[in-house]
Amino acid sequence: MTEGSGDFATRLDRAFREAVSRAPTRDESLELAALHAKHLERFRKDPEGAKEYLAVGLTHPSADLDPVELAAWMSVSRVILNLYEMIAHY
Amino acid sequence: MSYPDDFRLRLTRRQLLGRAAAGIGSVALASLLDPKLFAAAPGPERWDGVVRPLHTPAKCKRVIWLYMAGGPSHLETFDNKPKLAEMHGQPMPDAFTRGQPIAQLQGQQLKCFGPQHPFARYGRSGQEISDVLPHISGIADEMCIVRSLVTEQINHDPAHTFMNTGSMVPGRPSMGSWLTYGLGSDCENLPGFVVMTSAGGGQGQPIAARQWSSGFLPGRFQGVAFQSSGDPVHYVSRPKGTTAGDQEDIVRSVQRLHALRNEVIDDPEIATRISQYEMAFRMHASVPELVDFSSEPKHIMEMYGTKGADGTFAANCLLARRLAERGVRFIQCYHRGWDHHGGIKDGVAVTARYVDQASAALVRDLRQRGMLDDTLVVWGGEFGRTPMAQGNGRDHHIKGFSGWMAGGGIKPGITYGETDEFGYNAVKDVVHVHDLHATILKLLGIDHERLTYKFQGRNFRLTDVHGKVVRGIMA
Repeated sequence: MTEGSGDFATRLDRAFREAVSRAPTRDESLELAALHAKHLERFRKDPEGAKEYLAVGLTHPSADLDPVELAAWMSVSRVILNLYEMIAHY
Repeated sequence: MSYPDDFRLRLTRRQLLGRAAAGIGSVALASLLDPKLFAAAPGPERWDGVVRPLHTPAKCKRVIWLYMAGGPSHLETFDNKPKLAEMHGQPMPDAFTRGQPIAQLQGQQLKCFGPQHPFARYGRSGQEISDVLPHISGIADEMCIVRSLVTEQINHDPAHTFMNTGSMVPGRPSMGSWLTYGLGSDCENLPGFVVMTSAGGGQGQPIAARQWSSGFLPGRFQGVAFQSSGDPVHYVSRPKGTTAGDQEDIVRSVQRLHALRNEVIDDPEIATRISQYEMAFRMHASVPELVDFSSEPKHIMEMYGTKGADGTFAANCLLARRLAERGVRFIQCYHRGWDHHGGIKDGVAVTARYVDQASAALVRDLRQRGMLDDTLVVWGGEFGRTPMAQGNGRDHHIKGFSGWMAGGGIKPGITYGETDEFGYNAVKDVVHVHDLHATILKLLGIDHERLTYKFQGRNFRLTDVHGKVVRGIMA
């Protein structure tokens, strides 16, 4: 979240490579961009929900980060981390 | 019988090249088209099973297996041996034991050890059952007691594997997997094969998760183990701050990315993931309702002897009934606690108290709901115990042991088979594990010789090259 230019494509590329060691395809990017946009919008209307969502787990997010933006990225990350490719090598 | 090709992972060179071309082609095509093409999540095809129509008319639709893990002593439960009692303390006749497999008593002097609890006759059928099972005694007229079971493995883990898969070598599909593969499931919101475990009353060896493995069958037919405490399924509840809709967004995205990737990779494991994520999503809704016992009246809770879904055998039995009502095909409730090498008198009595009431309650409850006619209840373990003493306990024994069945197509109120007067060898109407498997499949409408799956160039089946249907226990 704190590295690079902060635009969607750069962040997604970084997250995807960290998880599955390859860049996302165009279709994969489109799918995740749609999810990101939808959840950004959804948490913008419900910032309290975003904070609760972010409280899951042991990591405490930095206070500098916008909880709404971070929550949307959490959704994107959850999708990436649930890919079968995370545990299988192709 | 036909097998869908997508469950085959046998690629010839020609198939590989063909698939690769189709894969690249379809990805290229997909990228030319509107990505909204993928907006509709790939629905997991409903699995209706490969045995269609059934080979023979079914006597039952589902199985609940009350699996008494550890090796319950037949001599303290269902197989009374006055002769053994008479011989108590005297040497076991050498003719029985010479050259026979022995677990822990190897090289020791073998002495007869009489039944440690009195037996009595119960019901109109007059079945002989030990005093440690007062509730099960009450359903004597529903039960078919089999006194002539035989297995081939004398240690717990391989014996479990043998009982579940028909082979001592891990890697074969377990019975629940065969059944969901063969028959599909009548429930779309829960797995077709569910496993629960409880413990108490004796040393409770762990049960390896591969006991409910689908082996070489596709992963979607694997048994799903419910946790005994807390959420029955890990992480089935949503993260705080999110709605069902948010969760659906995530699952649908995962599904679409899997579908995209599977276009390229064509891996049955991804197909398994897709179907399992769909199932997991449905379980977000179905599981909390399933384990909420508040809809159960007080007298039902008391009949089973449970206060709630707390991981006890009693709670698991009630959960098993609720799963059966929802159409789950194969339900196993393991109770770990029957391995009484020492102190068998008290040990059996204590373990029996964990399972006796709920086992009987399950049968009665199914009966009163009209479900016993199409639900087969099986009660038994991986082997029995020696007629010879191991201190004041008994060692593992595989040449003759007992179990019982009730419901779904089983002849009620009979005792089938016999062991010799020492309770050592099954001598009359012997029921080998393969025969038990063949019979259960038959009750479900499956010819055990015809439910096969080709793997590594050979057709495999649950009974391998063995098994005969035990007509004598069928209604």
